[in-house]
Amino acid sequence: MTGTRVRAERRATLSEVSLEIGRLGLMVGLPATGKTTYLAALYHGSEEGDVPEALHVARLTGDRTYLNEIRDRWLRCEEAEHTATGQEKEVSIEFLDPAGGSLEVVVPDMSGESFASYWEHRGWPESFDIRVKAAAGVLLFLHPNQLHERQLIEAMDEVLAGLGEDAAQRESGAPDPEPEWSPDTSPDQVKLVDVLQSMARRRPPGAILPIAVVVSAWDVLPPGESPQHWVESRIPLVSQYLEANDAVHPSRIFGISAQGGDIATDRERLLSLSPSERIQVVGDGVANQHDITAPVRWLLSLAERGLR
Amino acid sequence: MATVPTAVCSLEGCPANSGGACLEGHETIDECPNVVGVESPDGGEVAPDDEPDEGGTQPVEERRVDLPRGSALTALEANPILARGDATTVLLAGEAESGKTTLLAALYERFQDGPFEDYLFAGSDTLPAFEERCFLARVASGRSTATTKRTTLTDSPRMLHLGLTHRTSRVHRDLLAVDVAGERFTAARNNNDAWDAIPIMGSLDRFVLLIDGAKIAEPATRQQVLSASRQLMRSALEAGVVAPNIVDVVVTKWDLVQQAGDQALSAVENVLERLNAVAGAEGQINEIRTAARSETEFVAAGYGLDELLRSWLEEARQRRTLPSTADLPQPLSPFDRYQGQS
Repeated sequence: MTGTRVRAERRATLSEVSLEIGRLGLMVGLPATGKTTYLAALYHGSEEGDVPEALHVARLTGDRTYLNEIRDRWLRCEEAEHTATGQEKEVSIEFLDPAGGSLEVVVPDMSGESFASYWEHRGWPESFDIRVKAAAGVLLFLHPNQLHERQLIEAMDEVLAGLGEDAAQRESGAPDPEPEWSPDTSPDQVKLVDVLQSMARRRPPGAILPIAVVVSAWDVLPPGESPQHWVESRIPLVSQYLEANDAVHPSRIFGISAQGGDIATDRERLLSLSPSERIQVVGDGVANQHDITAPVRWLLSLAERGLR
Repeated sequence: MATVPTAVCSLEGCPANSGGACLEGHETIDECPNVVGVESPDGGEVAPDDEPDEGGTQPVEERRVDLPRGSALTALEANPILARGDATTVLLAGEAESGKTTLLAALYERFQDGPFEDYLFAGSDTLPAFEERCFLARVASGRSTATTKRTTLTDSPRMLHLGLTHRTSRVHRDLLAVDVAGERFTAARNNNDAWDAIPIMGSLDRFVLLIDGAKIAEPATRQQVLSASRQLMRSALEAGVVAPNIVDVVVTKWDLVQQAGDQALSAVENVLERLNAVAGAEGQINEIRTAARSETEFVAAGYGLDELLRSWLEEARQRRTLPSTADLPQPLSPFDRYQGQS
């Protein structure tokens, strides 16, 4: 029987089992990419046990205050509170399966702001480095409405020309500045590739690091869109990097709506559904569209096949 | 006599506090970032906020692991990439503002939109360096016109790196592009010894001579830029730093050349003939016209980048597999034939 051990502490004590190579799943992402909402739904889905294919809770241990708080907000169809830097907790949930495999999913940085700083400051904490080296896989979170994309001046000129604005007229004002580059201005896809390739390089040569890409808030995208196509078109640098490095980074892309809809405008309908029915999951290999644990099951399946 | 306090791990149940193995895998408790205080041998605990005893242990801040800076690479830093055996090294040579850095930035930007010429972006050791060079052409800079930060003479020659994987063959290539300030090539045009200041001249796969299309387009500068280009190539060949069969001649800002009309176009044809003459019988110059950006509607931005990439990744590889002239059997001299040598 699959199971989940649940533990959330201010600084998680990772078990000796999970620090053994191949038993740790890292949940990472830039700020406001849906990690907290997903975690709340994941905790509920794996503990409630009403979705047949989902991983289930085997036993509850440790302090679950934080997980219960975010789960309760999710059940009430309320927005997750933003986790500020300095308040982040390292949260973990351990999943077990009948074959004896285990995967402890850890969120080392709930706010995402530390994750964002790795690109800018060219370094990360030793505790994160330990987890990177021990990881069996990564859940990488992206939010369609929170993506910082690059805009070229020439492309903007074409758009404005189409609206009847003359580039020469715009140029005739004050001299153009030549500011120094600041790393925070780089597009998100560059930051994500940089962190992924840095993670790969911190691991032993040839060690694989599977990536489950989770596109959160899937409900905001038009019907018929596929997670694969979204990643190819909106973060093409990450898409190419994963495809080119599929031997080191086997990957699968999931579109997940943990809320099930817009809680600002559709809350009444969402509250009328059973919580698990709110959850929407799409992607290759997803057998049940309400199985919030699908990305974790995929990582666990690779760990069990010894692909590490 | 004062005793040395020992460190305490804050994690509940950590065996390291009683001499066992650290729960997080550190070899000694002193390395563990969870150490928050010290415990005196008599069992009392010193809280982190307490003033430490003289010679006592301060609470330990978590150590940080540094990642590579991502700056453009020195020749030494590029060695691991070169050692992999799949690298193509190119040098963009041209006067200041001829478009060297802009061309490299445009190639990198092209991959930000998706695969290019059947190649996938596979990673880069110099992502921050590329981002810095692209910045002034992006809306985030606050500019109304795109430009590229000049490579200054104080910047020592460095290399930008792009890892690329062919989409169908899955063959990996590392592209190393040497980014050098234009003033160094002015110096080389004036004195062959100046080539010594530019790294890896001896191991280039492509020597890319840039001719500034903006100067070709202007009658006042047309002849001067064509003469300077020919002299630069001649200097490189006579200094022995470049073989004549690895040369790309790239006319940049082709949109401006085309806009300038027949005299500019004919000047380009003329300089190519003269460059071919300089290269001699063994020369195999590859002529490419590019427009990394475009100010006209007749030439698209990114024009020629496809041909450039193919030259660097495919033609360079082909040339590397051809036997050098030193490997080919040498013809007998008349003296050897007289002596009956075979």
